[in-house]
Amino acid sequence: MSERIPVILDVDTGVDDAFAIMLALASDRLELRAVTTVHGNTDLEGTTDNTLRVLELLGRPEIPVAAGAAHPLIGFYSPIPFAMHGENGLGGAKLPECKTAKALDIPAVELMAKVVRESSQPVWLVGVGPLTNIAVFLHCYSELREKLAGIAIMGGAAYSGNASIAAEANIYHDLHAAAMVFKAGVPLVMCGLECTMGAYITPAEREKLARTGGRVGSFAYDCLESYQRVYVDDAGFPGSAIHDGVPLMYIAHPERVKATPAFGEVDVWGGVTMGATNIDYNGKVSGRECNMTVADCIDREWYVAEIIAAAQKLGN
Amino acid sequence: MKKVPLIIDTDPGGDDAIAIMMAKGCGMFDIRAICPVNGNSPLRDTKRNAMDLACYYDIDTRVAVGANQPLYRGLITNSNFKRVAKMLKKDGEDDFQYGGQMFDFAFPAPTKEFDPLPAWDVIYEEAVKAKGELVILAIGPLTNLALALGKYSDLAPLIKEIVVMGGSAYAGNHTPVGEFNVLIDPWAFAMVLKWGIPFKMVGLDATAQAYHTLDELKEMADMDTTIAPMLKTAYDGVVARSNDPNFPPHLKGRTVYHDALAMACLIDPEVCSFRHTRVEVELSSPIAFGQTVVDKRPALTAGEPNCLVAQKVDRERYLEIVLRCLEAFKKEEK
Repeated sequence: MSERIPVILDVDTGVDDAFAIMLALASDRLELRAVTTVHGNTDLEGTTDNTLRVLELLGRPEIPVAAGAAHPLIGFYSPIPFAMHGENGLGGAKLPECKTAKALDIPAVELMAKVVRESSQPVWLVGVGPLTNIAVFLHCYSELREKLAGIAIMGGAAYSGNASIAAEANIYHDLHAAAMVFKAGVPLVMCGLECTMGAYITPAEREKLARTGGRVGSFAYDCLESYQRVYVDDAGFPGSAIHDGVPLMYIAHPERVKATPAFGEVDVWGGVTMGATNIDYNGKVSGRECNMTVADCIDREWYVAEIIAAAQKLGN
Repeated sequence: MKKVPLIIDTDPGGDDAIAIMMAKGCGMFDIRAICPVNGNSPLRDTKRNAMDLACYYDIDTRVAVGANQPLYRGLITNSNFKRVAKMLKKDGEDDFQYGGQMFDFAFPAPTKEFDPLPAWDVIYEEAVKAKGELVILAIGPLTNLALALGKYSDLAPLIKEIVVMGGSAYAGNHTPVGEFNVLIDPWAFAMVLKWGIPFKMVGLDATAQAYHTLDELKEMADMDTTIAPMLKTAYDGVVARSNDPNFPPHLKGRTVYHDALAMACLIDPEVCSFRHTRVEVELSSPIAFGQTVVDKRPALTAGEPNCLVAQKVDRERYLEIVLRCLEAFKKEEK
């Protein structure tokens, strides 16, 4: 087996963040070197606590964790208006308090810098929450930009939104940070709503997850309670979208994700499209040089099989 | 009297040079660090200038290098902003020529080394050490401070006060309503202002009142100080400018050291009156971008006051402070 790809995961755990952590740990192509936390699906205290509990459940409490920004760069965190991620951010799943997993006493960006500096290979930075930590990292440690293999994010959308009519939540909740990341000149992969909404798990597949995935499968099943209520019961969608696993799977298995180069910008100018990602596929309309790769769709059945296999691997 | 721990965040720059002279000369401050940032000129110049000044004034402090670019490039696109757009050229581009030298004075070769840590780490370290007493004089774009607050979530309550030269309650200088320091990095300004740290804004409408006439500049240069050669070239520069037909009349016969007034406000809070009011920085409007919008209404309705905005300057008092600070550099006293 060839050397694993080093990854730092920046999360706002979060239901689908828990799945991302699971996928990162189970992958035989990825090596999760650190997890950093940010405000987002719930407040920073909650996202950090959830992250630690998930790592402990998955049997990897030794993975270094550091807490980052509690607020977006400009303005302050405010709780998201509906219970997409349940009361505790884990969709209804209950996890015991941590016995061993503990956050380090350093800022998130310092942990990122340490991992990048000490790595002999280029490191992927994967952001599946608001991009506050990653933006601060890129500016506080601009000399390390060239040691990154790239930045892969769950966020944005070419033509739709969820937090607003035009903007996706991770970008919207710190649009200034997102704009800084888009401009940083580091290879960027944007896994936006067009792709991640297709990365859903059906109720039947969720049952299979519980049946075959041991204690991790049971947790994952419980975790999806709130998602399934919102996506399936209320909205009539065929399943629950596991957005945050997609950028990791793009890195590990690019052959499973169809993607297109694009020129993209974050709209920072206010108005209806504030916080929207303005995407020009192939730079065709603007004539601008492409600065990112936009994920178009993922092989859904394969993705769900990976999730179930990850639960089995870590839970049995 | 116990000296107040002070960090000077700066983009020197001639007026920064006078402000830093005063920080040392007044004897009231323990200058914990000088943190150069991209601003008046690119970082490669401001960091050299900061080091030159620390050595020339014999300030025993850390010179910690900061940001070489604003948080976001490409905000300035409107034709209104051509002048600033030019100044935002990438670090290292050679056609960038503005204030790279301080007064065109040739400083002696520096005798000190830069601090190994970047500005934001030094700001945090010193804030922790000072246990809530640290004061920050910020006389360039606020990029370094914004990054320090972005990296260290527990920093804000450790800073006692920030005095900023920047913004304007009325007219701007690089756009009709935009002042240079804010305009270079308006996001950073917003990032710092939001924390509710006691914040004094010494804007253009205040600094314009604190001018120095040619005679007053000459008086400074003629004092028998160790830094007289620098002050002499500063004076000569204003004389040359005053005789140059290409310069607009308002730049003749006098000069303004904007940053020096901000420093003077730390030395003597009575040098200028302040109004506690609400300030917001405009980040969206294509024509008012980077404006520090100051609520000037008698009854505030725009929200909680978050800023002390400089109003009326006592110019005589200001000039006395500058001269008093210069006394400390007198040769006899060495």
